[in-house]
Amino acid sequence: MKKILLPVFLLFSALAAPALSADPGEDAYKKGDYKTAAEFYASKFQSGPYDYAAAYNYANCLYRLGDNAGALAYYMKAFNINPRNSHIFYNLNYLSIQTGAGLFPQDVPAFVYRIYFLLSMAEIKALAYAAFWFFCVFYALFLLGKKTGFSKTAALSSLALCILFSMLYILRTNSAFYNSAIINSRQARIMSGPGDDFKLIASAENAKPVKILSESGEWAEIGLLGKGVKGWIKAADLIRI
Amino acid sequence: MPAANVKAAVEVSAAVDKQVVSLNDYLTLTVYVSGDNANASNVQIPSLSNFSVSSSGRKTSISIINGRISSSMEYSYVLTPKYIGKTSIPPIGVSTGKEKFFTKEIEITVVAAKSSQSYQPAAQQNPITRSQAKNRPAKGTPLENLIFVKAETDKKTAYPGEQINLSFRFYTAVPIARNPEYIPPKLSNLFSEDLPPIRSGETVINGVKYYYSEIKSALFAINSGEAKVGSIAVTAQVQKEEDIDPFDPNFMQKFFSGFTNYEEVKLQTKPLNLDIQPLPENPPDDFSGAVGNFIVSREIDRKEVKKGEPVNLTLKINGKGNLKDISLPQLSSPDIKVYDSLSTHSLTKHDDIIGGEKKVTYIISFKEEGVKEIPPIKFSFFNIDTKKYETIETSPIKVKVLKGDDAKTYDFSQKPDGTGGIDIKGSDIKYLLNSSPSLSAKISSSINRLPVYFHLLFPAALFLAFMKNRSLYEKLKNPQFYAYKKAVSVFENAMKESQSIEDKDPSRSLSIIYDALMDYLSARTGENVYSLPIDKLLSLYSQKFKASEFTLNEIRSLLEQIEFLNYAPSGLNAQKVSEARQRALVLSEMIEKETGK
Repeated sequence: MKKILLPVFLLFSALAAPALSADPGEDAYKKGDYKTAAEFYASKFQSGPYDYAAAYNYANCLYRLGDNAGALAYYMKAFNINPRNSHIFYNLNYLSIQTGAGLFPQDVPAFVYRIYFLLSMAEIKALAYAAFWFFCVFYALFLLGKKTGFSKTAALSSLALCILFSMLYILRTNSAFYNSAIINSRQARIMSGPGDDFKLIASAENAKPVKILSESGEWAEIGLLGKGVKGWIKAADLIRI
Repeated sequence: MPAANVKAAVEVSAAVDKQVVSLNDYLTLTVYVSGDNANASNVQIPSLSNFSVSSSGRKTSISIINGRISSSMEYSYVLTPKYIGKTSIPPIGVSTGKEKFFTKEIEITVVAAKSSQSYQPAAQQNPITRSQAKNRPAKGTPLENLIFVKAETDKKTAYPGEQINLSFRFYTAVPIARNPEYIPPKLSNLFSEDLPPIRSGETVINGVKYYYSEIKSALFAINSGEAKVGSIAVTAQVQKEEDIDPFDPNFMQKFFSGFTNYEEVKLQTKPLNLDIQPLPENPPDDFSGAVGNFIVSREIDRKEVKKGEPVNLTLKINGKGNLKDISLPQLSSPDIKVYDSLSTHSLTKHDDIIGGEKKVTYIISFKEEGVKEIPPIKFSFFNIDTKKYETIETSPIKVKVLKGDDAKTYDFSQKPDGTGGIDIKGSDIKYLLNSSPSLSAKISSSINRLPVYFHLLFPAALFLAFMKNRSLYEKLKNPQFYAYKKAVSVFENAMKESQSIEDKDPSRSLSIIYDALMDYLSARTGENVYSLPIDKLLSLYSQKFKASEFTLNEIRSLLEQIEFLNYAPSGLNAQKVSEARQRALVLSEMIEKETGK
């Protein structure tokens, strides 16, 4: 009897283990201690850069703490890692509307974005590479006369996929999620050059997404998305995506 | 006077208030931009060597008709001339982001000041006349007492966003060649707005009469703490040791006509430090950094509208303060949906105080039918006069919302799937996620981090396959030509093989040499020579190539030697095989030379 009970006990212990070791960040979040939760998730994301859940949870904490710019930036980071997660898309879209960031124009149906952002930039790039490898391998087999019918079809399909992913990648570099940043200043000043001595040409509100065009020391050249405004802003006023 | 350039939907023009200006006067240049992208326009004033240019503000007007937004901008600049003569303002470039437009050139004539009275208005206010010879500087007065600069601010402490006026004065009691070059200061924790025009006049300091020019600018601190105005530099050309009275009625004409003996003088002010105090604690929740003294008003383009139809609600903020940097007040109500907001501003600089009007146009629509109310829009600022935070608001507006045209509704908030358009009111962000790190992200990242040479291995393999394919193709297409091309390498490889086994199996080694030689001759002649007797082989070779007697004899001799060794195996050993191989190699080299290789 003991021989039977021991494995059953061990099995139940193993199943119960995740429930017993609750996420300390979640505990703090539930209690409304968003600062502690934020510290936990920030550290978790720092140690695991592919942990989109940590980035998302950190953004949730920042949102609760009133830091819309930070929240938007980390939702975008989470979205860049896993654009298929519906929670991330929902919260990002929600905050984008609230802050007027305009990441997803509301006159375009959501499913269009879900298709367009089905894959992350890293995934598209990796798939383009993989398709290129397959093209080379299958075309080489075709040239060497190995399984010519199959090799030819596979090589052409791989080439088509390689072109498709490459074009999608180029297209996506224009999106607000590539090489971009969020303004993290109540009223950031946009100058005509990289320094305080240049002319002030515009100002941008907190939590506005910008494209980073170039950098010079402590200054970054940015373009305000959808506004046609280009200028220089202090890098310290930006959160990079 | 206006010079216009019309292209596409954007119109650009420039105008001046006068085309003849005296040296002690200034003119106002206005650049007009109107059309679809006017608010995104960027005016690029070209380098004007004969004018000092300072911006005197801009004015925006915007109209939204049937959802189409068009705007017009007026950029104003004050131009102070430096030299007498005919000059021009070259075409001014206006970029709208997509296209660039140019205004037409404008001709300007700069004339000398008519008299000292008109040139120096301050002299009219102060009863100082030429007869007061005691005010003229004494001969031998050091240059630093005759020409100097001074910079001061109207206050030493201020709050972030509070206007501080910087006054820079250039004094001279001696004639100068032209208006001096002004190099603006470096600002730390400050940004500035020009306060044109450049003012000029006369003043008496320590009994010496000076002519002065004054440049003013408004400074705004960015953060609390220390702020610094760097040195302001001026370069002037002063006439050396000329006894000319700067208060002579023809003073300015003399400036620019007869002086030849000039000395360049560089002057600079001392840096100025400012103490920027933090704004008081506990600002209102919606305070976004506006500092000044403002009033707000609102207007709506119609009070009867269909459900879902866009309406323009305009909020106006008027007053003194840096209106450019004011954040847009938020508008939210469960009854309305806010699509977008556009902001424009026009700055005024009356009495050296920056102010004006900021207009924020919210494009809104109503979600439901009935009589609906647009709630008051709140705006909080730090009142610089009372040194207290204030929150002001507009009055609410009632709008009659009629039944909408379903096909034209803009409201996406009622989507059944709940993930499309999102109705902000009554909803919240989703709860925490408890997922493991993305495996696909890890794999993708690993692939993307692979070194470049790894990716190049694949095209390299493809290239090798291509070369192999080409080789096979050539072999199949023209076997003789292929054999001809490969003859030497095949022969050399056979020789190596023969060498490797000559000690163990001299007979086999000799056979390899014979076969290689026959293959080589077959490839070179293009015919199978295995079955030919030696004489016929040599005859064939002679027909194909201009063979020397020595080569023919060598072929014959070598083949006979191999045949002899082959039929007399008792005398066969490694040394003899080696000799045969050496002869074969030498022979192949001779044949290569003779056959043109």
